[in-house]
Amino acid sequence: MAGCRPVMALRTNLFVVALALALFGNVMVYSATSKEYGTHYLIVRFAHLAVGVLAFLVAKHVRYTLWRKVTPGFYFIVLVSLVLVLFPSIGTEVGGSRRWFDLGPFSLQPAEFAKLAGILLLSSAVAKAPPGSGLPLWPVVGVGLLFGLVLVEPDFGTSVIVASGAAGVLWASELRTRDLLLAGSAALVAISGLMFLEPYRRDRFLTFLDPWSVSDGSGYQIVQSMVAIKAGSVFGAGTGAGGGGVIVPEAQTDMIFALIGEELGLLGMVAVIGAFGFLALAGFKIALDAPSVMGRCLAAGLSTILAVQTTFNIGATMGAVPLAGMTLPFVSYGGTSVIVCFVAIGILYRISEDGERVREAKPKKARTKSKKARTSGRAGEPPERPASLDRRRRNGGTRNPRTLRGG
Amino acid sequence: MAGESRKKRRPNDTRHNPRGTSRSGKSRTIKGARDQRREQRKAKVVPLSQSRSGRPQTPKKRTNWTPSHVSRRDSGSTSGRTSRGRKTFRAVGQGRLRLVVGAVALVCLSLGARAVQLSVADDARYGTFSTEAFASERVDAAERVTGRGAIVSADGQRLAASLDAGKVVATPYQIEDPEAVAKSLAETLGDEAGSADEIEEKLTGAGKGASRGYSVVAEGVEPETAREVTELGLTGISVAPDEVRAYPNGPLASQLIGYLGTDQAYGGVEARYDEVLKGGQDVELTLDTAVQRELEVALNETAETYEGKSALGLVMRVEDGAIVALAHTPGYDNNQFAEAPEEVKRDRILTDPYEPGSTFKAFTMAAALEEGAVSEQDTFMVADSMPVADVVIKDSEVHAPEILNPAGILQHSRNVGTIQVAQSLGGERLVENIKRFGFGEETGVDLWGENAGIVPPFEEWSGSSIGNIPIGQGLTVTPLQLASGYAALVNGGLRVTPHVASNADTGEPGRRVMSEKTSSIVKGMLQTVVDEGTGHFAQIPGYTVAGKTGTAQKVDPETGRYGDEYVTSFIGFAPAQDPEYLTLIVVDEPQKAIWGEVVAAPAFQNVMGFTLGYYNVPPDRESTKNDAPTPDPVLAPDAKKEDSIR
Repeated sequence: MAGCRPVMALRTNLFVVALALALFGNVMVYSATSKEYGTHYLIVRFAHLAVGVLAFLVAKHVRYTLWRKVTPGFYFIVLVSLVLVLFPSIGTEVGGSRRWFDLGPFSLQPAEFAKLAGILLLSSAVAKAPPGSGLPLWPVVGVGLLFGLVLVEPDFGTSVIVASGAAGVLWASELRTRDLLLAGSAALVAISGLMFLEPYRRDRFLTFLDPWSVSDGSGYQIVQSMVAIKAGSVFGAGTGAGGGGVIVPEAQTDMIFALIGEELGLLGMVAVIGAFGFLALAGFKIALDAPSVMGRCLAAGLSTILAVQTTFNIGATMGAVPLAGMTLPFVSYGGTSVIVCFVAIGILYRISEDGERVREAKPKKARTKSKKARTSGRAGEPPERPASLDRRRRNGGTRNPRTLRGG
Repeated sequence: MAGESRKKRRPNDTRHNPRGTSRSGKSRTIKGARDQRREQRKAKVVPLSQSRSGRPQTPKKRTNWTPSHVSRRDSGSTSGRTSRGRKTFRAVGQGRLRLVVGAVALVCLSLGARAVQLSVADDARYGTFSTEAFASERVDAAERVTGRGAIVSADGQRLAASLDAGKVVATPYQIEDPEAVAKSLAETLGDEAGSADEIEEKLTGAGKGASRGYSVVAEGVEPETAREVTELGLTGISVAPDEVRAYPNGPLASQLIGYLGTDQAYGGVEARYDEVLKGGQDVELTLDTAVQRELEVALNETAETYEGKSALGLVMRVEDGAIVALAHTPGYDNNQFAEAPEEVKRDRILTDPYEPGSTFKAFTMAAALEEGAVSEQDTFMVADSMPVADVVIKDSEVHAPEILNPAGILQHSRNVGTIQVAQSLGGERLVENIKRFGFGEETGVDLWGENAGIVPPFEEWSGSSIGNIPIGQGLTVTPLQLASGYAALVNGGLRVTPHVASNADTGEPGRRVMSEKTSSIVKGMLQTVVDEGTGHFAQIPGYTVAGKTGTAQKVDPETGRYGDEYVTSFIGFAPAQDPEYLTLIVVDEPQKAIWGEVVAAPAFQNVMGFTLGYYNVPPDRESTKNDAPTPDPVLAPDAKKEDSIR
């Protein structure tokens, strides 16, 4: 285990890069909104960021295996809130979608939590499944329920992320590859079907094929965004200097990457893409090094949503993939999104830490603890085991990963 | 795990028992196995807790376990398979994840490449063949989207224009004292934004459609006022740039111009040329505000004098169908669009068909002449009534039977004579000719909402149809169709596409519908109508004028029969033999008089006289010669009052 230092650096860097992106997001959001709204958005952004970092710290302190215990409750709460948000008296409608709970200064978007809930539900389920088994029905139905509820809000982009998070979990699990490929193609067909059934989504797709032909209609957003990026050229116009010539709708949320391109140019874009690439790769590295199936699935799912969201957001801004209405993680304006992203980073951090401890503990501490472990009922019957594990954890040890795996 | 495996192993033991253990000693075997396992457990614990992590300990475990374990390799399948299976799945899961890592790296590179392509390479690559015009045109179009184009009249007046304005926006949760803020806003904004209470509702986010984060307090605020609001420096209140659509000429040509609402355009040029205007381009009309104003005044006076329900009129260039003026009264002001009743907002001239009555007789005559069914010199013995199938057709006045040529029939607007002409032509050929003039189909005018009217096909004619269609009954046309038909009738026989935009797409050059000769004959006949017949109130000093009156009974919608109300019209053109403009006046349900020559002709005379002078059309007649019978334009309506008492 010579790689202990790099691994430490990896997860610390993960957080540092995420934080840097979020702070950078503050700058860009301010740049997009300052002319019209002054410092209002900046202040709110800082508040979001503070809550996000807090969420990270909390998530980092939760043993990732504990997530399995809270999963049913968390899932249920998310499910109920997704249903509630559809009611006109409870959910707030903005632009034809019911997605928000209006809680005074804060508004919550339950669909963002649905991403987490789907990943948690599926990870804890597939971790239990024997290797080489088929697709577990009920957890998949549970995720499908989340997907459907988010879809009817309507929020196609987020529902696609929920689905891709589930795909990430399953892909990292021990289930049969053949089943996964079959289910994956079925899901792909279904999602394409959904896309082509809804006229405005079909339009979005056709727009994607040739945005210029409808540059004053449905292609306006994309064309404006590409024009803005082109205007930025290599070095960009400088932060705060954009938005003058080209008006990009939704510049502070879905289209913030266009503003990055315009104000910071190619260099800024490459840096941001690089940062996100690092986040995703680090996430998958953590998944690979995870001490258990649950940990691996969880890490893979979280990394997948970050990667997919980033790809679709940046890609859509550059006209490379169809517009699906996804935020850019950490950077875009949107409180719930920032919080959920930081929670994801917190969980990844913790998985990495636990995996590390498992490897690190072996040669050193294990020996000193061995007697205690033996006498404390290590050989006892299953019901006693959690207590003993907790004690060992308190004493600086870690759970035997085998117990995590076996379920 | 040990406990678990023990439970599961037991039955398996008995079943398989490989490795030649004696089958006879079942119980012993079990017992022995149990003991053995206890031993193992003790042994197992030590290495396990010594190295508390999974993988590296496996070999150690093996060394302890192997003998017993191997001996029941199959029976101990659960634990055995798990450890082996885990190994394989680890390979599977991790292998799959490594694929993902590769994919992520690939996606990253592609995104980066796209960024490079978009911001740097694109210019060079597309620049060679699409040139900058391609890109910059689009950029320009996109940029200009912020300003909607204006609608400009032919004489350069702005009929509709977008003005800079401000939008006052509140962020409700930032406002600490909504009452005070509302008060100062109400003072600054004045009445238009509503009372302080109404504003306060918007500021608290309690109003309909308002949220805690964004609430529009006032739109279309004048720049000056907007600046004052900014200077108030209220927290949570900001001013965003906005645009207001203004109609500087108020009610002038309001139906034709149409209206731009908050989210879409309603009617007229605003709706028809919405895309062009959105793109920031101006739309120039063929409409002239001077003629338009003259027409509106004349229509208003006529409607008022004769207590008409409504009136409409149009001035058209006969050569190409360009609409110089188009008016409906009562009108409304697009600046107060919401307050106006719905029925006055339509371009009724193209949406509402009617039975044209006598103005239609010219087409019957033209058809008969063109087809050679009658000639100029033919004469008809015309009584004041005649039976056609089961009905009796009467002329508008009682008269002794008279001998008339076709010109005379038109001149006196004889129903019976016209039907006689039509009978010699035959219904089938008549319908053909009517359709050729464009009746029963849309004119193709560049305005939405056109009605095609109804021309009954010959197969559907009843026996009496030949008694009413030739005189403009039993079929419906829009006033615009009638005007277009007349334009073709008098410009030498070429169809026109009426249009209001100067660069409108009018399609192919006009199709010939009749010979120039026929056109010339009909023009001559229609001139006698004004010079000597029913249209003498339409005479204009200095010009030869031709035209036709029309008085059509309206069908009572309740009974489905002809009722007591009339549509009175006059359509005419000048100079008679080489016309430049035609003018149509239609008065709906005039109360004090019903005859076209009395009600509509004077308005025509006003408008046409003005138009000819305005466009410097050279007079083609000694003005003194025909001055005498011409009523003074101003006095015309009054002069008619006596006649109108019937």
